[in-house]
Amino acid sequence: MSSSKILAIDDEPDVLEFLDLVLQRSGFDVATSNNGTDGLIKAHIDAPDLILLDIMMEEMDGWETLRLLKLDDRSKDIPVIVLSARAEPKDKIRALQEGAVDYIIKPFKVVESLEKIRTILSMDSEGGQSGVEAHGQGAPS
Amino acid sequence: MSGPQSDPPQVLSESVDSIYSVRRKFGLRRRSVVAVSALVAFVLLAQAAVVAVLGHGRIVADARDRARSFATLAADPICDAYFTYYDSGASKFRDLVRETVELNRDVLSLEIFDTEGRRLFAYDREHGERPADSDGFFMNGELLRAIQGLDQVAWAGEQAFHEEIGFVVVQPHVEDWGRHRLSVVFGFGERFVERAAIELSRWLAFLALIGLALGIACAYLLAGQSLRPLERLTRGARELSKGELSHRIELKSGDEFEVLGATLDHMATLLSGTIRDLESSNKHLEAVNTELQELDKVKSDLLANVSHELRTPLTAISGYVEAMSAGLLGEVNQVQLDSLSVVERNIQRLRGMIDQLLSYSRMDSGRIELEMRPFDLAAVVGHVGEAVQAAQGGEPTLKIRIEEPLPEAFGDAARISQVLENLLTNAAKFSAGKPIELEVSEVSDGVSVRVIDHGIGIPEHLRGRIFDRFFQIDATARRQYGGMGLGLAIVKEILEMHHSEITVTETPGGGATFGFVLARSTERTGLVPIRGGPRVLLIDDDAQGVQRITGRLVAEGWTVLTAASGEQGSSLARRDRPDVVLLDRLLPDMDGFDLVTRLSEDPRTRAIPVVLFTVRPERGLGLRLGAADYWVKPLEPEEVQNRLERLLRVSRRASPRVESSEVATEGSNSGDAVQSEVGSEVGS
Repeated sequence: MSSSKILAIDDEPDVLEFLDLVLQRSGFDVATSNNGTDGLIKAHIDAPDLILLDIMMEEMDGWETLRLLKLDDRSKDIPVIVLSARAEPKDKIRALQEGAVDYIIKPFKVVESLEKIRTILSMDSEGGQSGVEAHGQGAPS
Repeated sequence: MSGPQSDPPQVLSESVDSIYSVRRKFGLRRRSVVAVSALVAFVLLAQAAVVAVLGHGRIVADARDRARSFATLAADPICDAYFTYYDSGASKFRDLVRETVELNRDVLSLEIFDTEGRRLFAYDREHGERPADSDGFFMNGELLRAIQGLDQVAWAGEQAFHEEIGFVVVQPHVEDWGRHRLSVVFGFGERFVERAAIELSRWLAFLALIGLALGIACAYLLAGQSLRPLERLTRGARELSKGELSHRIELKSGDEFEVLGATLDHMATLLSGTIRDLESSNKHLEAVNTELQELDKVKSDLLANVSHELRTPLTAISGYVEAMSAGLLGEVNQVQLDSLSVVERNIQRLRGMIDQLLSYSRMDSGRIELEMRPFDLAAVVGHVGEAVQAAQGGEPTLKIRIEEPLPEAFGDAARISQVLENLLTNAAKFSAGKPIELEVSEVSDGVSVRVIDHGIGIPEHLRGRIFDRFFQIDATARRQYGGMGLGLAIVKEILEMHHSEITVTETPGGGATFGFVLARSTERTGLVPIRGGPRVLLIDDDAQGVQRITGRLVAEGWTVLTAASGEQGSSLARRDRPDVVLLDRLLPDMDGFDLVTRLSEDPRTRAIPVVLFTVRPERGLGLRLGAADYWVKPLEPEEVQNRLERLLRVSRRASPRVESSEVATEGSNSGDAVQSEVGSEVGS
């Protein structure tokens, strides 16, 4: 079984580089994107298993990116974890309402966050099985 | 703005119009006409009465005088004619008598007597001449005396010899040489006097009517005249009340109305000036308000942005440091590890300060609303104590004393944990390494919490000021103990919002004791409140584990119901319908699997997702029975919360029906599920 692929979208180069490094070291395949538009394209082409998404970005912000991800059939099933420096509870609630699976406030605990990512990936692969199965059954008809 | 301004005057003018229409029924004009005519009528009536009372006697006397003078004048010619003509030819005498009687229509009869009382001649207006009495004697003595000239009187009433005669005048006829031979008796009609009175009253009535008519006419005209300025004033006032402030009355009547009109005009001028001023200041205020709103938005955006801006660099810093300490970026030696932990600790401090700054500014701008509800204070205390201990690296030690039984406290659990955290952090800072004590107990007016340290203490003169924001005991303390001086200010604010108060006293033997009292929950059971966060039913007999999870969830604003047995749990689930049930596999009275089955068979609880919680990996069986998820112990409270949040999101999106069919599909390849679960257990 090949390692899971994670797409990190953040316009802060240092944070992005750090995520890239730590996730790779933890055994994931990592793709990075420094803006929402590029992130959307990569999400559609690379079909990652999980997306880490920053909220406060120039041009297209995280909210818009999240909305477009959830609108597109190719990306709507990919779990998105929002990584944001905004600590207001209403932002967390909004993210979950918009379809994110989790909301991690920056600065985050690395080990704990890695654990969260693993949990979500494992849950998603279980849930995905039935999804794949349903897809497979649908194909012949 | 235009809506509310245009509406009220219209309503006002309608009500004003209705007022005018009502009042007019009893208009001043009608009232003054009635008043004046009543006055005229009264005066006339009084006059008539006076005339009638005073005048009657005179009328009677006048009538008698007139009757007497008539008798005096008429008697002599008749008597002369009697002597001259009666024996020769009576026709001339009779003509004279008739003419005389015709002269005065009040005379009904005329008789001639001699001094013996013999009736020589009798004439009646109705019957003409009557025959003289055969015997010629008249029986009435009084009349006889008058006839004989002994008494010159006139009678009224029954003495008359004719029924209709009410008044009799006897006029003796004395011849030139003084011999009295005849007397003439005139009979005047009964109504003779009355008729005179009636005549008079007719005149009076006629005059009264004319007077009354003139009075009414004059009153009407006068009232109209004097009411005209009032009507003009009323019109003007109505225009004013409709908001027509440009209308002017300009009354020139030269009386009090003119003064009133001028006053109203002046008032209208002042009012329109005031309204112009108000309008312009309103516009100004509106502009200022918009500006303020924009500024407020900028301010709150700024707060969020400051938080973002400060946190972003910290993300990279703390990320790298933690990754290095965790060995993710290669081997690190002990000296490097120690250095990293110092960096890490300072990052934590910086984070804390950012959090406090934000939290205080939010509170300061009144943007925090408390979610008041009953909560388990002991659980929150346990959770916060643990968290602070961990953050301080276990130094100094914390002793928590909870006096059982403890009633539920009433307040915002999340804010109270912030209070506890700040108090404990503060105590730790000044404890000089000595243990800190945290005491919770029931007191008369609620639940008391005390944080006791045995450190350097607070000089008495500064105790009042330590809750001021940005206050530090001195510059040395700032350097030595760090922090921004916001922690205690936040504590004070939060407790004030709870109508509580923070107190600080000296700990016997040195150090400071901070204390506050929270209101007790008045509700009999704390299980029912449904507000804000999700509601979890936790069925587990492991008291310590339950308390850890409960503390975390309650501090995050969740409502937690707990049950120590399967029976209690299933009845609570039926009664309170929690959002999710968290269930231990091993219960004192029944098997967790049985309870899962029971809950999924009961229509009242079928829709509630149930999570099985156990130390043994039997995931496939649990899911097959209808559990929504299956977690292996031990789990950190935070992890439990994260998983519950995810689960609730999934179960909210899917309807119960779909969920149960998914369970069925899962059941068919349960073997795989067990495999993967076992695999991940082995892996980690």
